[in-house]
Amino acid sequence: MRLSGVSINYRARTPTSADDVVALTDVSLTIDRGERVGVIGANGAGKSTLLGVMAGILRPDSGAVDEQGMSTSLLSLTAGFDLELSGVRNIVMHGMLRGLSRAEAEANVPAVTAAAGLGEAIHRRVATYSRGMRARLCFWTAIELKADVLLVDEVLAVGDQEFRLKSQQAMAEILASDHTVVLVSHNTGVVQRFCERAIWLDRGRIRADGASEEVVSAYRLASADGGQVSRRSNRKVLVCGAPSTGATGVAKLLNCQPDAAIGLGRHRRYLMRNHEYDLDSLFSEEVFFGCDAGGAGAAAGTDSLTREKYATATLVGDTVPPLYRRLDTAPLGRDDVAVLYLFGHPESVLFDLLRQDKCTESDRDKRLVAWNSAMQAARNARDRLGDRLLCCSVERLLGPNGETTFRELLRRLGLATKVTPKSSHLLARTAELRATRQSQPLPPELVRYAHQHADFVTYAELLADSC
Amino acid sequence: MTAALLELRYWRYAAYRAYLNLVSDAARYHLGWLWWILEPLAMTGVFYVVFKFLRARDEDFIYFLIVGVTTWLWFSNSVSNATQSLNAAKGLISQIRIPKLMFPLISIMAGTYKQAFVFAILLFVVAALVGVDPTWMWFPLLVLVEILMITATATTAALVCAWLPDSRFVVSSGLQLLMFCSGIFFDINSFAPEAQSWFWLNPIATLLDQYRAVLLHGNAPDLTWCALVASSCLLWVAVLSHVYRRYDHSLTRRIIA
Repeated sequence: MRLSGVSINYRARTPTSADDVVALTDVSLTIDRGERVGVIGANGAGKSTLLGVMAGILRPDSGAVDEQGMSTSLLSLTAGFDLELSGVRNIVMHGMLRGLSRAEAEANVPAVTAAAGLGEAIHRRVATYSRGMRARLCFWTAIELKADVLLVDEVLAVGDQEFRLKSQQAMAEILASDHTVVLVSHNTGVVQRFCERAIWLDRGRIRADGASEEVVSAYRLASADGGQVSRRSNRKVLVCGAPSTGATGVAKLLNCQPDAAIGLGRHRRYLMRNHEYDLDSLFSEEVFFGCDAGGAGAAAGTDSLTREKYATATLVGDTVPPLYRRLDTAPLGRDDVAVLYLFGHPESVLFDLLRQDKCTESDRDKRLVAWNSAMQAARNARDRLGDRLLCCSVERLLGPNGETTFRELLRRLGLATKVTPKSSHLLARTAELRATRQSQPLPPELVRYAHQHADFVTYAELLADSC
Repeated sequence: MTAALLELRYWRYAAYRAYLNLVSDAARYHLGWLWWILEPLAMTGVFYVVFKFLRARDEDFIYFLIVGVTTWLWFSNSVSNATQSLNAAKGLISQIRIPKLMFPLISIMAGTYKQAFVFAILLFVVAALVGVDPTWMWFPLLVLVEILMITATATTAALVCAWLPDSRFVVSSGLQLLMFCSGIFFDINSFAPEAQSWFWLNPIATLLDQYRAVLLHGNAPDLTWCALVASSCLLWVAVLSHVYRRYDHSLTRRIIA
């Protein structure tokens, strides 16, 4: 398939939309049979438009597309399935649309059902399916309709954990065959893993085209330096915290004027900025999602803010377990970035119990189970969000080089110039608290226990990927 | 695009999709397909109650109403469903290259399947209560004319609404206006001749009158009028299919933008 000098722009559909948007400018490329190509770039770079042009759905304003006799299939999870119809009928309908007869399309049903693991549910209305089930149905319906060129748009980044693993396995199988695949993804790790070639689109132009290792590295570097990860003024911001943490303090340090900051400080009080929020509706919005769990440091922030700013804070109940589950499923927009403040080292979790004189067997088990499940949630978020998840551990933030690391985070968020004297005060206070803790070491048997039961693999993995 | 429209696969898909539209429609409500009959019956009932008491009518008024309401609802439901068809298919249009004319045509086909069922019941009821007349042989001709009128109107409305979403409100107001000018619940023939001439400019009013002439009064339809309307509609659909073909890519961008 060959694209020569392809340019395309969109016109606003309604008077309230933005003006014309240039989606692609003078894009030329050739994709050979059997090649696996990843397309990366920021939101609005023109990645999906490029797939639309390749699929023949969009005709360029100028330039030419030569399909060279290759059939294409665009795999996108936004496609229109009829929710009122059963899975079977949706599979048949899509097959017929791709040119199969009804009998041929019906013959596809068992294979799709088995691959998607839907069983008897395939006869139920799609409206009754969970999000993951719908994603599986959609994915496998498209996969089973074999085409010469498979154009894949961001499908590996949605659905539940099981779906992501299964779809990545399926993608690996497809890539092992002689399929030609063009994969659009925000997750550069996925592109690196699955594609030998990558194309980096930047505001509609090809900025780099070559070996995926090189292109992805260049893209990552530019993202860190060029403020790809920058906070937009219209973005919703939410910073969350768990017991003994200070999400509000972190929000203050980031100086990011969150729509809501939730934190549970030493006074076990949830803090809300201006409003009492219904957490469910809050999380259903598009949010900048920062999750702060464990660690003594930020408590200072909470503490300070409690006294100084949030005299009328409201207690809304214990939401810590839901907080971590939400981390796994938070509906982030393509432009949004999640900042994960990793749970403190498990030893410090146990230290808290010891200090409270509550370190019974069942308490410590509960703490470690919670720690491990938070790690799992973090790993899931990492798989889902790729480079859009910035990891920071409390250790790193507040350790010997903590302040530097934190400044690095601020810099990546484009907030480096906004560190205020108040923030410096909070940093100093957290360092002081941290020092107090370190002077009281944990009993060795507890350390051993923690090391035996904690999911250090994930912890180490996440730290290795952190800023 | 013309070649694409002639491709068997699109028509196979359209026929199956139209059938599935009905299945999906029936699954959406507790009473399912019963609404296909209940809707015209309910509307007939409303008009009957209102106009029966407003003015003394002859005993055949109920048949007069049933014929008017069933044929009108077919037209109006088909047009309003087709109006939204392109925007509703946004997900599919952004994923598959497909002639856009297919979407209003699928709505029209689904409406026609449904109407076949309603007409079967209507004919059965009229036959049982009024009796069968040899002029009923003209009934399929009127059905064909109405299909062509629906196709011409619905494909136009779908195109305009995809291009200019605001025109949806104009279409729905236009349908309201047509409903009150088409003689569904009053007999235009009973008006003064100068008033009548205005009403007969509306082809729906004439069509309803022709249905009643064939089904209730044992008269043949006005064949000249049928030929004129059918050929005008065919010509218009041919022009529109050219427009759909010519602007297919612009339409795609307009819909998915």
